[in-house]
Amino acid sequence: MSFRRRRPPGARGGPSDALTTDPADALAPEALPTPEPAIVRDDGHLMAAACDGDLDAFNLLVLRHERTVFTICLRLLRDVQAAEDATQDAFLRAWISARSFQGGSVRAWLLRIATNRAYDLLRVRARRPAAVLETEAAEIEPIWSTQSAIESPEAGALRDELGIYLERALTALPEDQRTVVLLADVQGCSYEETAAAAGAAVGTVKSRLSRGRAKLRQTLIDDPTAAELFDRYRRSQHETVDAPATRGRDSDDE
Amino acid sequence: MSDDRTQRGPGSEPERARHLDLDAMSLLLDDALPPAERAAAEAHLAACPDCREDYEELRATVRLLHGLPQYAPRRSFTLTPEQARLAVSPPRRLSWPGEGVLRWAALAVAALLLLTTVGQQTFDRSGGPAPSAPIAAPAPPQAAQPDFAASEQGAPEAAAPQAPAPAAADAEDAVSTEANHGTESMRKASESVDETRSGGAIPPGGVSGWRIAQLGLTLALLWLIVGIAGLRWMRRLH
Repeated sequence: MSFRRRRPPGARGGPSDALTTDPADALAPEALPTPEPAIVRDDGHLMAAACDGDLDAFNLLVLRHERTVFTICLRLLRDVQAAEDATQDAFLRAWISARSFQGGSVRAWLLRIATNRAYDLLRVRARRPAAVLETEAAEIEPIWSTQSAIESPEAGALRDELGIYLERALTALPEDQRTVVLLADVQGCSYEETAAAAGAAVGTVKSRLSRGRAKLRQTLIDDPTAAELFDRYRRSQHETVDAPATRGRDSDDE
Repeated sequence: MSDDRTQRGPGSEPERARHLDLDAMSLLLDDALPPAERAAAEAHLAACPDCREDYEELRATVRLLHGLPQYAPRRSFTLTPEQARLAVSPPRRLSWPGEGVLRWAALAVAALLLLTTVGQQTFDRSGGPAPSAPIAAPAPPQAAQPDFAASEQGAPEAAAPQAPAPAAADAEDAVSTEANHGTESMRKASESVDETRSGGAIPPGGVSGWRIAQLGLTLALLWLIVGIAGLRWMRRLH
């Protein structure tokens, strides 16, 4: 599935065999235990069964991916209720149009339905100015952080603080870049999955991702408080990581 | 953003070209550069503090993004059998393939309308003086004809602003002009029949079967066009 990430995707359970030398990746949250049968069927099989009207198979897919879908909806909509509505709606639509699934990553397909739905809701909401305040209010603190902090307390605190700035910076990104950054960097989708979920070519995804990342970095640096935190965070990373500057974070995949 | 590279230092053209651009850095972060380019990029990073600084900042940004929390929903979104059934059955009933059926139906009705018009004309011309002629009652149809023509003309006007079903609208257009032409010449024909017969015919007992058919078909066509437009509108809502 995601060949360039070590983080287990979405609601996939199990211990992180991915906890390697890189503390940033060690932040991968413990997944919720999901009631899956002993024989784990892969997404493709479940999807094929769902096409034949097997609701149980489809619900296994829901359990497997609902957290990823909900998280991206919440990040897009900044409103818990709206994110729940969008998520439920996305799964209903997925069930209805199961037959239109054309292979590839089921997660990407679900994420595509969900992000489209979320952007629809955003546009509807943009026409009602009253709701905008609501989104601002919901912006600050994550409500259900499920991550387990396996890192130095200082780095964890810095990361949490910077997270607030980063979330804000994400909302300021252009829609196409935000989608790609959320899919690839926050949800850990591969380029191919991101492309499928965003309905774009892989080359487009790469350039959007690069521009989005650069813009986020710039936003962090431009804010004096965030810049100072960012600087300290980077130094804390250097201390713990001790990785050569030229190594990509996924370089130990091979 | 890509200006970053040019802002830095005097940077003559060849020197600037050696700097890593943002795309390359991003790919390097994902370990997605081809081996040769990757080696070159790493060599450059080792030699160029500016690029290394940029790269480190980007890397920290991506790491922060990785560390953003996932959220556990308050409830599960698994579908109950009821939800699944409700979700599937209503859309099936007014499923969108319906539009294709409607369009074919509209075309079929339009063709029938054309056929009846042509049929009426030929019937009135050749079969007019025949014994069955009195059925083609002159008076009431003539009174009804303006209405008929008006509704015929009204149809494309009503359909045009929405312009939802170009094919059907075109067909309707063609049919209506054809039909107008038809009724026009038909009216002349029946008038001349009236004159030649000089009222010798049996008083009209009712509207001709042709015209009833035409009226019915026109109404059906109108409904179909409205239906197609409505379907499109509903689909746009979804």
